[in-house]
Amino acid sequence: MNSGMTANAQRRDRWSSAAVFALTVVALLLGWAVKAAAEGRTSVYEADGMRIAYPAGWVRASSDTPVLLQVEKPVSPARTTLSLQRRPVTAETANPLSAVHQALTLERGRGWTAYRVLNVGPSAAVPGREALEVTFAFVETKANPFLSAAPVVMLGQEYLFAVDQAVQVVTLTAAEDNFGGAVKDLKSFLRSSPK
Amino acid sequence: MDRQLCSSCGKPVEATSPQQPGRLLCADCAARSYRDRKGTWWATGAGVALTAIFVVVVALISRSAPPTLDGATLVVVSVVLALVPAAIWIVVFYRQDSREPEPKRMVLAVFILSALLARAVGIPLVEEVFRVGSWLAAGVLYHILGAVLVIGFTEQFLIYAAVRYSVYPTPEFDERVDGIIYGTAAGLGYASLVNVQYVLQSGGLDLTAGVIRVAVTALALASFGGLTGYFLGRCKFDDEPVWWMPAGLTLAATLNGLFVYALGEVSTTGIGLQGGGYNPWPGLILATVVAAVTFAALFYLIRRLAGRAPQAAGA
Repeated sequence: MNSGMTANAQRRDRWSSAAVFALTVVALLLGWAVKAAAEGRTSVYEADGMRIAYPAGWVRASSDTPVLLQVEKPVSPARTTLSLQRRPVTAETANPLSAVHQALTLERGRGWTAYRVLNVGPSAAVPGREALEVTFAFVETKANPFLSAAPVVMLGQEYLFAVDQAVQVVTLTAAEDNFGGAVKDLKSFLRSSPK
Repeated sequence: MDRQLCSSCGKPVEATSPQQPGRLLCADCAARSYRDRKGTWWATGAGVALTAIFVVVVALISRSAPPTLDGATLVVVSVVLALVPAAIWIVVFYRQDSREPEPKRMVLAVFILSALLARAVGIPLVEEVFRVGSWLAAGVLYHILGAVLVIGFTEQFLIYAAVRYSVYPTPEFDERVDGIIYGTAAGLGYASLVNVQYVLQSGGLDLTAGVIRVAVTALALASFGGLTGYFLGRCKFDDEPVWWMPAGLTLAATLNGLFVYALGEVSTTGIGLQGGGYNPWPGLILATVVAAVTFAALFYLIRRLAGRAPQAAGA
């Protein structure tokens, strides 16, 4: 092709194109940093000597004992929720993590539609803390009843930790489609949960 | 001794010809490269005005006799409506630019290439890799920085690439104003794909709010594409430094990003008992004003350059 350009102009164009490409890459890297900063923002909940960070922009929902804190992502089609609860156990309970897990399973089996435990096992998700990791599924039927949409399959993941005379349960629930993206919110929530 | 030939028309270049820094041109072609084509500006002005009129007409029709469309019919009608702004510009442009039109094939090729780049790179990068929808509203600073760095740079780089790596090195790109024409075509191509994708994702358009959104996207990307194209035109024909084009892209990307932010601000209203939450009309006014101001500035810059043009042989 006759580009019709002098060698100097072609060389300058090549450098100019390389500079434009490099500039765009730098802009996108900075954009990624902005994204990370925006997504990493947290709000802090403090009460009863407890301090826990949850994603900024999430809304605190009212909660009753044993739930200490429940937050919800406002724009997800079926609510993505993170919660922290504290379940007392007696000193005689042989395996408090397993006992609380069984109790939760029975409660949810009665109250949640199609609740199923998918996997249970020990976890080292939080270094230095022995935990039981549970994944589960259910069908969200209690979302806005005026919403003309089919019920949504929800996934959940939770960690149970033994603390003094109690078990602390950190739970994430999210629609199947949003679950992968919400797991990182669970991880940061876990890291800030009271020891 | 080799005779040097004009890169545009092939005639011998006289030693006395006023030379362009970037290309070997005869006196006639050198003078033409500065030319300010009135038809282009008429077409641009008419394109902006007719796009706004199109929206008002559709809104009036939809208000006075709401059509009952659904399913596939609604999607097909919506896709057609999503392509109307680009069609308006292209038709008006060809009618006005009849004296020496750019090759239809090249304008269409740039339009399609830009649309393909939007589908293959731009939209997946912005929506799936950066997932801007989930964090852009985290705060004003995040919104502005995200809109400029992610949306602005992605869109303007791809519009730049659609022109730079297709028509730019060819002899068809023989005037500074061609940068604006091809940049605008690339912007419209990108906007058309964004609009069609929006229609398909939402299963059709709300005839008023949807058509306004389509027009706003087309007006904005056509303007900022024209701005990027202006810098490309200068880059080819003037002895601009290496940083010229990066600076131009930064300006276009920044304005593009600021527009995205401002559009969100002016279109969002308080929610009350009478409804609310989203009012698209201020966005249309903003886009129309931005397009008019951008093209008026480009018109002024091209006119100023034309005043410096060397005289053509025999002129």
